[in-house]
Amino acid sequence: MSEPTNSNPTGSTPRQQSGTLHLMRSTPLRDALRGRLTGRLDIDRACEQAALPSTLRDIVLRTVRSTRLWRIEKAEVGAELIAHFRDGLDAGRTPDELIASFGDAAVAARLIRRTKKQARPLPWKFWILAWKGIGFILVACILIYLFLLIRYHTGRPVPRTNTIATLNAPALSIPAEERAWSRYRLAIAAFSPAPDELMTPQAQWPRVPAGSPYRGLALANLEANRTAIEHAHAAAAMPRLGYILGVHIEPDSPWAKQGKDIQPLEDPDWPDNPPAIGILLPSLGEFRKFSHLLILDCMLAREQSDGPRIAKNIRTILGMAEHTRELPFLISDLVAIALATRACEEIHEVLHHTPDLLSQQELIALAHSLSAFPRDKDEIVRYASEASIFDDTLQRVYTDDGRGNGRVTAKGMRFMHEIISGPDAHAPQSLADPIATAMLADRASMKREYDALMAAAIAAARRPLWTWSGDPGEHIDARTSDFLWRQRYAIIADLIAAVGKAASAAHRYTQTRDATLVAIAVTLSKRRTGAYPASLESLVPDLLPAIPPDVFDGEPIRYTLIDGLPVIYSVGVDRKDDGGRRPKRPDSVFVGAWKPREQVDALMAVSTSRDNIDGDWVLFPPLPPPPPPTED
Amino acid sequence: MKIERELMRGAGPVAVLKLLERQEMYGYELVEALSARTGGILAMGQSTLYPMLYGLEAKSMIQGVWRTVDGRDRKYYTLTDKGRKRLATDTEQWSRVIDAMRAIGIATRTIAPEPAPAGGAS
Repeated sequence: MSEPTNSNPTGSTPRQQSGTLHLMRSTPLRDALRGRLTGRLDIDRACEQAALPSTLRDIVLRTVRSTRLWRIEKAEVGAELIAHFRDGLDAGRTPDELIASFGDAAVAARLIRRTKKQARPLPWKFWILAWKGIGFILVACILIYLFLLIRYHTGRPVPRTNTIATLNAPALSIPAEERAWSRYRLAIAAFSPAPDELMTPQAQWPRVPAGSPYRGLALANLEANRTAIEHAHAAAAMPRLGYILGVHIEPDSPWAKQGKDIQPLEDPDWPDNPPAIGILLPSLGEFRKFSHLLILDCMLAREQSDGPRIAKNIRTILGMAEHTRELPFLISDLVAIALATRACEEIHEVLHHTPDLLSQQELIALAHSLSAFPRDKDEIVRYASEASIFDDTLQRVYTDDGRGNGRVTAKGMRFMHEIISGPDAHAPQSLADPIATAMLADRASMKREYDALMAAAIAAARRPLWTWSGDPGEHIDARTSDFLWRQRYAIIADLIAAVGKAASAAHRYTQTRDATLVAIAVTLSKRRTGAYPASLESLVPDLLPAIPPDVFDGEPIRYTLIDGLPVIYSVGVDRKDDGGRRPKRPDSVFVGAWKPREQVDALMAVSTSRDNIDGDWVLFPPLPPPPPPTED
Repeated sequence: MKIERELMRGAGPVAVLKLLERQEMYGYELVEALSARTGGILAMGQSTLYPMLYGLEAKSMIQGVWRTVDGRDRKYYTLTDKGRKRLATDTEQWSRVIDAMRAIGIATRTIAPEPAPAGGAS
């Protein structure tokens, strides 16, 4: 007779002498839920019930305990071993024989544990596997993090190139007495700033018209600056600037008072090799202020029919533009073309309002000065210094393995934070820094990517404007808008120059300058013949070496006579010749700002934007001054 | 004669499956049968047998059921369908191995098994 039970039978008759508490503790939950306190997890009691000799009981308990299985599994293994030994005893075997044939209990326990675990439920296996996986990943992450942490904090940047010293070499080679900067310093020292009232839109500074309530204030400021202007004239006439670049405002400098709160961007570990990106260029702002005074003085000189003073002022502005270019930065070149543009605009004002005021010699001299700008015959905007500054920054962020490569350092990241947030900004430390910086490209890759992006942008920017199909910097914009790229090349994203904008500004200046040269040529022609020429062809080559191109379509720059007066223009951003008609909003700057054709088409479809671009970019004559904005 | 562990590891499970082919058996019975029917060649300690049984059970080759017979509680093992297929495969493979051994003059004798002891599920 057999009677299947499907349960461990050792629990079928619980010991009466066991306490209820013990019984409960040795009863599986499933039995308890069925209302049966079986106590079948108590193997010791089961051995006792089976009347096993102590030696066999000991081997059962030792084996079962060593398996380290779940209690229910132990109970089952125990029950089977008890049954086995009981069968052996019943078959007439002695305990010693049974122990001998059993083998090593420790080996048995190990093997039983292994095989029993194989029989465990699938969800449990997945659960263990998942935890093992999580544990493995966690340990791997911790190890990787520790590696990155050590790597991040042990690296030290070693700047080997003194970029500022290299950039200063040409200026230092100029004898001190030949440095225009010494005279500019006198001009700056004598400079009296314009009162705040003149800086409001209502004042129309610096072209404060006659009759304006601000006129008296403006003229008073001009007179207060006569000495400064004379120093500026003298300085601008000198061939070389000789400005020594640095990151500090020197105590004896003209800006010592204003600059006392400026925290220099420097590296205490390398006091003799400060970062090039921290170079201060306060002179740029000073040139701008002087150009305003000179424009105002030109206006006054026109009213006083003082042609030589106008010519002198314009030459000084151009001289300052040349000097600005000696500061070898993209920003200096942009300031230089802004100054040169201001000189062109003033020539336009003179030629339009008082065409006979400047002598033929003065006009020819101004035309030559303009044609000769920039004196170094280099590109109007240059990008080489941008690469120098980028390299200088890389050597302060990365280690140097001597082969052009290196890894990001904690010190370098603090330096980057200072560049972005200011030298006195406290760089936040984060535990995630080593991970975040691990995503940054290494030094060589960062340099390669920068060089490739800049080379492509510069090559595109050098092409004539009318051949552009897109902004030269559009591939840079595409990269910087890519999230993953920005994580890897964050330093490039922070430092790369806006090549497209700079190139657009250069083309815009070129067109303005060409229009000025044409305006001078047609004025000189009129003086010779008594009338403005009907076309520009007749001026070549006596008054113009060639007819300059219209930067928007490559055709000759447009020239026409309206009401007997010359109009010089470009077709403008809409690439359509409107016969010299300005857009509905005549002061629109958008008409002369390059945009891709498809973008222009989209703008032309909207009336408000069409008013800005539908028309020609009239370069000469200048616009009449706008009425001053009302106070309210 | 003691069989090398590696050889036993291959032979043991198929021997157990073979014993269970005809009838269900409990642990002690299997130990005795293996010893008696193989002339002691495939006799294995319980420290080997029980893990092997649990392993086969985990792989669903055999199935164990607790049963009370004549007042004794024992776990009886029976062959499953999966175990039966595995036995067929292993038997075929072992036959080929033995034939191969014979062919090169290694296997020359046949063990005369002792009569199977009466027992098992009754």
